[in-house]
Amino acid sequence: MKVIFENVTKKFGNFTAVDNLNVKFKDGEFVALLGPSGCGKTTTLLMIAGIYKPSSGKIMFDDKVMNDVLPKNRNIGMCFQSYALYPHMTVFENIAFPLKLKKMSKDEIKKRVMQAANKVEIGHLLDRKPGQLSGGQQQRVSLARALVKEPQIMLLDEPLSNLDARLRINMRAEIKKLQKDLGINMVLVTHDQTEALTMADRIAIMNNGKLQDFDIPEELYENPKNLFIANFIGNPPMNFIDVELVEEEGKYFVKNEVIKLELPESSRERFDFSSCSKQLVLGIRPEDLTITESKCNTLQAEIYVVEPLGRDKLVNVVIGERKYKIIAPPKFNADTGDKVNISLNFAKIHLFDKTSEGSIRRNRV
Amino acid sequence: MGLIQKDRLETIIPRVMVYVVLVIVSLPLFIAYGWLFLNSLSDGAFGGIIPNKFTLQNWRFLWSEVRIGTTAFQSIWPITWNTFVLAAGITVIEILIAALSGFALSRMKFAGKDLIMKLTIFLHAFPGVALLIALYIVLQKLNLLDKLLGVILVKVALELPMATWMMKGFFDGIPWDIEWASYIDGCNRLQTWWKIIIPQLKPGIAAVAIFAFMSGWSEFIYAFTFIYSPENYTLAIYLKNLIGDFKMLDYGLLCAAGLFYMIPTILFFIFSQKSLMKVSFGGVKGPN
Ligand SMILES: Nc1ncnc2c1ncn2[C@@H]1O[C@H](COP(=O)(O)OP(=O)(O)O)[C@@H](O)[C@H]1O
Ligand SMILES: [Mg+2]
Repeated sequence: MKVIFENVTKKFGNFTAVDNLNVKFKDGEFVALLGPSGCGKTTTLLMIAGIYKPSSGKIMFDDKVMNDVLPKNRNIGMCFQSYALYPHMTVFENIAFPLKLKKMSKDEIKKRVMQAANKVEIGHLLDRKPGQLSGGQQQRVSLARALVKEPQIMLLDEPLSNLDARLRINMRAEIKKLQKDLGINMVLVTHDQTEALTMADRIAIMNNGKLQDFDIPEELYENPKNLFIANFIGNPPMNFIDVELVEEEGKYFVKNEVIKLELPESSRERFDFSSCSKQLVLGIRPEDLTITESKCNTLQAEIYVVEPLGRDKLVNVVIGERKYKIIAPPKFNADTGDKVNISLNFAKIHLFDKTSEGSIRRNRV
Repeated sequence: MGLIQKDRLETIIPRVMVYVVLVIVSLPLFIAYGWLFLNSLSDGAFGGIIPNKFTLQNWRFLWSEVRIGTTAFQSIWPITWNTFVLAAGITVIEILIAALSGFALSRMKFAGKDLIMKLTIFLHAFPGVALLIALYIVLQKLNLLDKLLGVILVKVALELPMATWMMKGFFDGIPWDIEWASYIDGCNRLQTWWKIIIPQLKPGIAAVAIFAFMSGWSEFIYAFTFIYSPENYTLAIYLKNLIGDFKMLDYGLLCAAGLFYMIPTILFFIFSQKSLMKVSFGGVKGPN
């Protein structure tokens, strides 16, 4: 089933929580809604569920306008951030509740509840009350309750945020597998970019109620459209340097008080220098920086601290006043205060207009 | 003196002080009730401190007709039943309405909601006694004068604002997520109210019910004004009539009847302390 937002805006009083959202989820797609806290993710989810009505615009499932359809008639399963289990019912009764409302037979209910409970491995907890469960167990009960209806769309609001690290990594895979097995639409809300990148087919990234971009994870990572996306996606985060663009003797340079780098010829194809402003932000990911011997077209930096990450090392350096992060091979060794040269992988640099914050990358044809 | 002993002393002293204060505060009450109890079992003590001979005579109203001077009082049991009907009627109607109106005020968005909220508080602040004459006329017109139902309706009307506010406070305490989850699971509003909200509201309902029952049980002024046939009397009126003739006042009998009147109240308090503790007003304001 396709889910389509057409000019959807949601206001609370004067406050715009979701601002003119236009997006289309494909049938059977796993979509992540990613953004910082308060950017309107939950509001968007609740509009799909029918709990909130859009202030304006249309929400469609396939070609049916859903604005006025009640939540109970939408065939949706939802896990709330707070789990929202019914405290006065046992785990079994919680999971059975949607089926009871559908007036299913007792045997059928029992069969389905057992199936759903076993899928999330809580078969042994069916007689307990939610108050007697740990956060992770409650989480899985709420998943089972959403699953048991065999909904067409599953909505998950920060489902993993309260789990410990190991369980979270396991559940990530479990949920993804589940979605692929069932072939249903899944919308996952998260503020954790790793979760979004690892689980979703496509990511809708939001900020301040506005959709920033909607694309596959690789594309968001490789070609962020603006500074916000560049900053939000990637861990450790991208390094940013404020620079000025100058042209000398037919060559382009970026420079500030402490650095001056020549941009290679090929960058003219990637970036549109002719129409952009001169004040730019250069972005480069930690893995696209290397520590070298060469002094040619490199940055001069001082080691601040080295953090071993296991597989490799995260080197923090200082250039001028500001700190930057570099991924170095595990054998790299240096002490605080050592002077090093850093070269950039110019094919992987990003340039953003400082005022508009948009990338000055040319649109590919 | 060892350090440990000193520490122990420091934790014990405040506790002892708390008990001392509590005992001082509650002693007069204890003495009063104790005196009442002893007097109800003693013969001929005229408000004396030390009871006289033991007797059950004062409790004779339980099994026989009571006469004071020339007045004969009818059996107390139908009157007790009337009092119970009055209190229970008030409780049931009040709970039913307050549970629905509290839900609406807490959860739904509609025009004039704020106005209604303010008006209910205003109504509550309004002294009910000032309405006595107006209510008398209204009841007369409705043909509800001298009927328990009339008193029940008046009491419910006057207490409903408070009960609604209390209920709203309890509804406010239930997270929206749980309600939303039930809508998504397939409930309509009424089903959500009945299957999800009300079960979580039991302590709140109990508290409101206790207050309603108590105030119904001890209701005097409306019952006394609106009811005049002896077969519709309640215990409060019965007690009032016992005192009616000061020259003939039988204190032993009055003590016993007063105690009898208090028994349900005391039992209620003993069994419902926990629920009463949970009463709170206002509470968190949810979205919408
Ligand atoms: N019912 C509401 N009434 C008023 N403001 C709300 C309501 N729900 C959400 N908001 C506001 O809308 C913004 C987006 O909220 P939400 O969608 O919950 O964000 P998140 O992305 O963290 O899930 C927040 O600033 C929040 O304060
Ligand atoms: Mg949220």
